[in-house]
Amino acid sequence: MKKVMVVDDSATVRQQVGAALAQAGFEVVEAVDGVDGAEKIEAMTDLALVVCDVNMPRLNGIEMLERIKGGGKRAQLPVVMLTTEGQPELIQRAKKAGAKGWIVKPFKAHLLVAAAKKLTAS
Amino acid sequence: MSIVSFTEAALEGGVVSESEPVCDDRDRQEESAVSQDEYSERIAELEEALTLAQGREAELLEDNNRLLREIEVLKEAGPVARDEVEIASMANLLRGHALTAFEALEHRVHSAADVSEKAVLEVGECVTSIVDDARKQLVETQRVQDEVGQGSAFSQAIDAHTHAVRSFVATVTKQLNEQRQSAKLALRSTEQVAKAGSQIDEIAQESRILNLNARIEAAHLGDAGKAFAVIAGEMGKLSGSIASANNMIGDLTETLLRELPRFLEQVEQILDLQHKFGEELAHGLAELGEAEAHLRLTVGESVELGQERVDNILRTSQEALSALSFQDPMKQHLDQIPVQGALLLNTVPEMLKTIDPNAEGHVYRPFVDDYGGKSLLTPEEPVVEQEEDGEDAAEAGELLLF
Repeated sequence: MKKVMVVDDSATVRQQVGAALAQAGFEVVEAVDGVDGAEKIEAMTDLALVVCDVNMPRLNGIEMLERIKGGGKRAQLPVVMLTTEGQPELIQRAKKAGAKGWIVKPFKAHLLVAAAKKLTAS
Repeated sequence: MSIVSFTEAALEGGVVSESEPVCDDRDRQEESAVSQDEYSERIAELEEALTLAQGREAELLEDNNRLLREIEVLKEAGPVARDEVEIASMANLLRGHALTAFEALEHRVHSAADVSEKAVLEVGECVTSIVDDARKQLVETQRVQDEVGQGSAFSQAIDAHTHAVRSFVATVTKQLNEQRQSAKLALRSTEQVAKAGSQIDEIAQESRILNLNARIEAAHLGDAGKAFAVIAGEMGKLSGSIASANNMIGDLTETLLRELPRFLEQVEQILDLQHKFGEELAHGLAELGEAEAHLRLTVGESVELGQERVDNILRTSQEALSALSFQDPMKQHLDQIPVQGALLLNTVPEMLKTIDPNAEGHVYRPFVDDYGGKSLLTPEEPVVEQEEDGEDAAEAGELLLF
């Protein structure tokens, strides 16, 4: 069973994303902000995907992405941003930092699951 | 002495006015009479005072004209000035009310966000629980299918017992048939033995007759026939023994001829019963097979229907989760209300200062999630103007894969 991490400061988002992915057969772990997410990502070696919010306290999603992609051990880990933001400059920044996808909230569960399956297929 | 009091005194002292007659009181005239010098001095003072008064009159006239000009100016600019004051006053009043209202709104916004978050979490747990129960039920149904399906222990047991019963019935039938054949063979043999016994009986009868004739002849022969008589006698005994054995055989064959048909009849009856049992067994096994097949089909249909319903539940739960995902963006939008209100409220002091430099400069700071001052796009930041060839913002629910 492939493991996915959900990083979001909203309990409802963690629940909804976790439930959607769990029903699709994924094992889900959670982090409550960018710092928590970065630490757990570094500690876990069996993650197949990260779904991450952008606006979070302590460390936002794009900064967390830049940190884990910046030559770390998890540089190849696919990351999808899940956020209310949709501005092109933010999307480009995330893409440049190594994100594999961008989903705008409120999200469609079937699209999220399809993206997760595609990005973890390899 | 003032001009007025001097003038009054002069009039009372008899100074001739244009219309007033000289005072008739000579004592007062004598007392208040002024000398020519003093009169000239008074006139000089009056003239000086008049000059001063004329100067003041000019100043007053100038002030009057200035005031008139200012009045004219105010008349022209009067409404604006009046409005500025009123605006400043109203703005302060409005700001006070707005501040109170926004503080209350901020509290209600956070309360609404908390309530909606709790409600959404509870609904999400219910949805997850429903899906889990549906999956468990499907697993149970599939377990039943495995228990009664092809190759299952239940199916194999039925097949094995059915085969065993059929084999047993076939074996019994076969043995009964063999017994029937044996009985028929025994009956035929017995009949042949009976025939042979009849023949032996005839032979024995002829032997007795022959023995009697031999004894008669032996008697005719006298002593020469004694040996012959002995032989005849022995042959007579032998014939008797043969007849006796033949009678015994006859009794046995008679018994066999009586019992074997009855046995054969019973074997036929058993075979008939066996045949009926076999038919009923085959019919029962066929019905059992049909029931098993029907059960397997029913369970299979139930599993298939259950899987379809679970798929529907999963799909509906995904739609429910998608619908519930409104809460987080809603909360973020609600959080912006106090922030935007703060922007509005905090611009009012700046506006007021243009009217009243001493206007209150208190800044309203609503409570919002602290993103460490590192929010990528804060309300204070200007909206980035898109380039003419720039991309449009991603819409809600949109998925982009890079």
